[in-house]
Amino acid sequence: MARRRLGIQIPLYAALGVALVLFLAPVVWLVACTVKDPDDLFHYTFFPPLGHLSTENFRKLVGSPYLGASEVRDWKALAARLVEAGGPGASGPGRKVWDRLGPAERDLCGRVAATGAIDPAGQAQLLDALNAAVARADLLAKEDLAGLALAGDIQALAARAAAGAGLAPAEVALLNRGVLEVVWPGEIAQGFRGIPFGRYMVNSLFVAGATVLIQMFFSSLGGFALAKYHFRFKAAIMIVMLGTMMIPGQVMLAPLYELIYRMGLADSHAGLIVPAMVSVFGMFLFRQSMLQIPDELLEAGRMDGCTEFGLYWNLALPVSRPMIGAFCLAGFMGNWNAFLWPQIILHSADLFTLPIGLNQMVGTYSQQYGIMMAGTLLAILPVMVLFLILQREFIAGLTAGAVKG
Amino acid sequence: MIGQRLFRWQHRYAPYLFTAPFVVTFAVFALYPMVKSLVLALFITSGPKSQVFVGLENFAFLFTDPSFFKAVQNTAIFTFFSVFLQLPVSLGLAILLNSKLVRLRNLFRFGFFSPYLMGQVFVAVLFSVIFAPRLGLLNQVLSRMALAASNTDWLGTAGLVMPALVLTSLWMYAGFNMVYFLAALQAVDRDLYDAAAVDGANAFQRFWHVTMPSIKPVAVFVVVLSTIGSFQLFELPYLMLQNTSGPEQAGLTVVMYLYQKGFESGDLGYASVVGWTLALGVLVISLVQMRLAGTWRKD
Amino acid sequence: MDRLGDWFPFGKAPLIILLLTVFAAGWLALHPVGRTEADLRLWTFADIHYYAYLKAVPSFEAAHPGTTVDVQFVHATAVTSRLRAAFWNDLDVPEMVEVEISSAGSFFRGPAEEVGFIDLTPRLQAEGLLDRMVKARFAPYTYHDRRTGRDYIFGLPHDVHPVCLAYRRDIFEAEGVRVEDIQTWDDFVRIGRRLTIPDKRYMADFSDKAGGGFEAALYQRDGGYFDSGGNCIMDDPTAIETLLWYVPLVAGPERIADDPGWGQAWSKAIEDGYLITWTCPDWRSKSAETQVPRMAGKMALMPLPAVRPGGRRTSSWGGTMLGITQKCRDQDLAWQLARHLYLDPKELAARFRELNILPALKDAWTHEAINEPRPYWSGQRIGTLYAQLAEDVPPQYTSPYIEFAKSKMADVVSAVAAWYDANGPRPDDAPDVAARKRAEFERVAAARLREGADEVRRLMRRNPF
Repeated sequence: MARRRLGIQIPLYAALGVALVLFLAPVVWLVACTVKDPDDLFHYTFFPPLGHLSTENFRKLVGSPYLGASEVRDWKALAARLVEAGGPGASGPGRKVWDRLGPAERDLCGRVAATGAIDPAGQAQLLDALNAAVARADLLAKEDLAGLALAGDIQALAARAAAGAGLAPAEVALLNRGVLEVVWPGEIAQGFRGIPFGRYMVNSLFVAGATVLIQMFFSSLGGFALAKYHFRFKAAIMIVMLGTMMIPGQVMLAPLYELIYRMGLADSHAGLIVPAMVSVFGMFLFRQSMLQIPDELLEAGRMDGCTEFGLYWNLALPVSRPMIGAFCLAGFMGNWNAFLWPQIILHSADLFTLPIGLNQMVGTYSQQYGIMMAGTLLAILPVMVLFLILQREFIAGLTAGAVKG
Repeated sequence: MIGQRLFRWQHRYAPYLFTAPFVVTFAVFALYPMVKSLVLALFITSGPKSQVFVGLENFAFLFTDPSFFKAVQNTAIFTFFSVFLQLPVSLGLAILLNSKLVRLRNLFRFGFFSPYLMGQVFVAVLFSVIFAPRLGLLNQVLSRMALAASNTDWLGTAGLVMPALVLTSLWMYAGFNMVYFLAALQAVDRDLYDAAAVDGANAFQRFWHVTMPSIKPVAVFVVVLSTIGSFQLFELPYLMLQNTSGPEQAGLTVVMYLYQKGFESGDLGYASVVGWTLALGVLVISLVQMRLAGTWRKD
Repeated sequence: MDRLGDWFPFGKAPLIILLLTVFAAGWLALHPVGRTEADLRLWTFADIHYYAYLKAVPSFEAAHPGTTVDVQFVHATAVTSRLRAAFWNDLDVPEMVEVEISSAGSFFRGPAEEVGFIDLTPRLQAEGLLDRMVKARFAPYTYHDRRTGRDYIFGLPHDVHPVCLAYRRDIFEAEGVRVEDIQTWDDFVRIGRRLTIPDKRYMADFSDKAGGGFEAALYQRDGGYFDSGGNCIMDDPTAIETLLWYVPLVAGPERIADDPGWGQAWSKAIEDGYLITWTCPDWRSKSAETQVPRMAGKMALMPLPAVRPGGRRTSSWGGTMLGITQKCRDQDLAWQLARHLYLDPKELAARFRELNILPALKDAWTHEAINEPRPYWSGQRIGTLYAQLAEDVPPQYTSPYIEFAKSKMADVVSAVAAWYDANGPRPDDAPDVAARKRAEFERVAAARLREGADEVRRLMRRNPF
């Protein structure tokens, strides 16, 4: 008996295992891409050896001001410039950086400037020293910045620093690095300024969360009414709802946009949340699940003096919890991944949600696979985690409607 | 304890109050735009001030536009393969997973389901890189196994775009449908199996005569849902093909056609026509599918 | 957590979402967005322009005290869709916007007064800019209004983008090829056939999917998508001739070109010698300098081979215009900013150093920054070379249907290339078989072009404006 079991179990697990590998391979590859150095993307299909793991992609995604190896255009020229900056009578930002280098690094610069050869260890050493210099708030004085054509955002930082405001460490590094980019444009590539990824994520959280919570409240309330009451317009409402469910939303895009604008809600989160406040699908779902509530229970409640809203709150909601959970998760996920409508409504980069933000990268930075994959990974993580925790509720709610209905 | 009159009042008007948020929001943000777009369908527009009434000419153009036919063709092919490849795959996975002998069922279930959680946008970004020539995962794997040239440009070759899209959507939705099937399988009445076993049915016959009919409602549901979803395919091809319709419009779907005509070319009236045509198509196909399923149930 | 979930009427999942939302709302409240009300807002879609303008703006603001300029970076596809949406609904249109050459025409619809941009012709004429800038570069941003029969220029051209061929000097030397010997495309193809090793090395980077390579060829021959009157010329004899010439280079047994794509694949192809020459408009030379640093000193530029001896030796690829929208309240101020960004020779010279983009303003071409030798390009004065070719750049006429026409053309090219791969003449064909196949090829090419052009015309006929 046991052997027969094993005879079935082994191929069973094998088949499932193969299927699982096939399904997870793209996700694993996604993760692998995020930890590979840009130059290594070609060499390793999946994960590089442990020593080659790098967080450069994530740092670049959020606009880390620190230098990575791929941002040094020409090591020999850079070393030469450093040596030059350390020469007698030299002054300016380059000099200040040179002053911060230790004797080992200065020797290294001398050697590299002469021979042009530098190994990965040497690169790391020099980068560390440069980044340490760049991180120092006292690296540059006001005179060092005079006459430099700094980029707008760097100049804003410099102005603030000059006015005596304290800069956050990341801002200090950004300022110093921005200066170096202007002083040595041939040697240091302009950093990918990063996208405000953190803000995009919070925007997505807020919009998806608020939308789905409001939807849940209104839909459950309305579904309760449709399930448990008879009132004048009930049939009309249901027919209209049913009819519109068939119609793809794209038909409404332009008139809806115009309407949102007239209401003054264009380019705002409210413009995303308000039109989505009620979900027709949700209404049906809740109606379905609340039909099962025995009417006697409600009558008993009324006898006890419970208000209708109290009935909803105390009786209907607990019963529909699985459905609510599933609806919330599905709605959250749907909203989190929404693209078309936010693309049309939102103009200001500060308001973007993750799909729009990531799409912005696709055109300009589509070749920087590492950074894009890092962004994608971070973008899908919240929903994945949420579902991992709430798996049971979701599946229960999802299937409750389908299997019985 | 609230007053008697207030109590009666709120009892009487509760349903209206409860459905009020829905009705108001619906009327303003759904009905009004829908009606407005019906009106728009009779116009050719080009910008805010330029509108010309053309009556039914938009319809005439629609039914003679080769691009529209291409879109319909692509959407139909995609729907067909997507739905009918989904069924065996998700059903098969569900059957495997349903076996009593499997531990770690939740792990497998989450693993298969997780692609669905990523959403079309992020899946599209990921797969646009996976299908990339040379660097992409698929090409690297296939060329190591010597099954395909390493620089096959999946998303750049007209004949390969549709298979790539179908594959991607299969990856995304197989787990989702599997969950439905799994629940359905687990809800099948055990007694039926025992009765069939007593009658001498073998495993295959039990499957065919007991399992299949029991899960048919769910299967129909899955098919209809998948079909409607496939008809509305937009974000996946649009993002994978980097905001274009692909080589020789191989990735053009009806909704993408709508979007391009309406929001890239500016003809909102024509976009409304396409939208309503799509709606009609969805309605018809859904009814047909449900009727077919219903007819089988009679015998 | 479960207990909490039971307490909260809606259940565990909504509770978690509620907590997350409250946290997010709190964060957003603590980090408010600073909305700037600027006098002039400029949208740009290219990050290189964005950074360059950020650098240039402070001096403008200093020269015009009290004015604020806000440069915004908007994604390329988003900028056209948002601009369109903004125009349609009279929404928050920026005062100035950069539009790419392939989509500029799509805004030129209807009566000229209703196009969202202002007509720059009076200002251009007042400053003599039509002569001081490369005249051909106004064509893509000019609207020929059929009703009035007049031309309206809605954009100030940013660039000329003359096209050269970048080549691996070391490979040429190794193979005994002299650049001076390549005068016409016939020379090029002949040498290409000799040097090409299928799957290992290709002479050129033309793609079988249209795009820059085919368009450049079409324009070089004075062809295009539309003529100056707005008529579709996609199937005229020039287009057919270009297609017939182009397809055997990118498809079939004697192809000499392969397109490796962009980004890392492209850098690798150049480094490995997979591409001996590649299409190089001025902006792309900078891409090589940044993305393929290892080839420094090994690359050089040569003008495009001519179609016929003594003919035009360049074409054009890409372009950007700057438009001032009708919503701009202070149009004079906007024009001042446009001049500052596009017409200041010092500014342009600095930008050339950084981006290798030759400005459309001819006055700037004498600046030393543009004429300095470039070590990457084997000491060549690439700016001088581009400037020499710039006057010759062919005009690209546009239409509201330009985007549609381009996509149709791309379809035609790839379809005909696929056909040629399957049915084209082969070297070992008997002469009569080859002749028959060749005739069939000509027929197919002409037919496909006409189909595409007819679709465009059909769409144009539908236009009631």
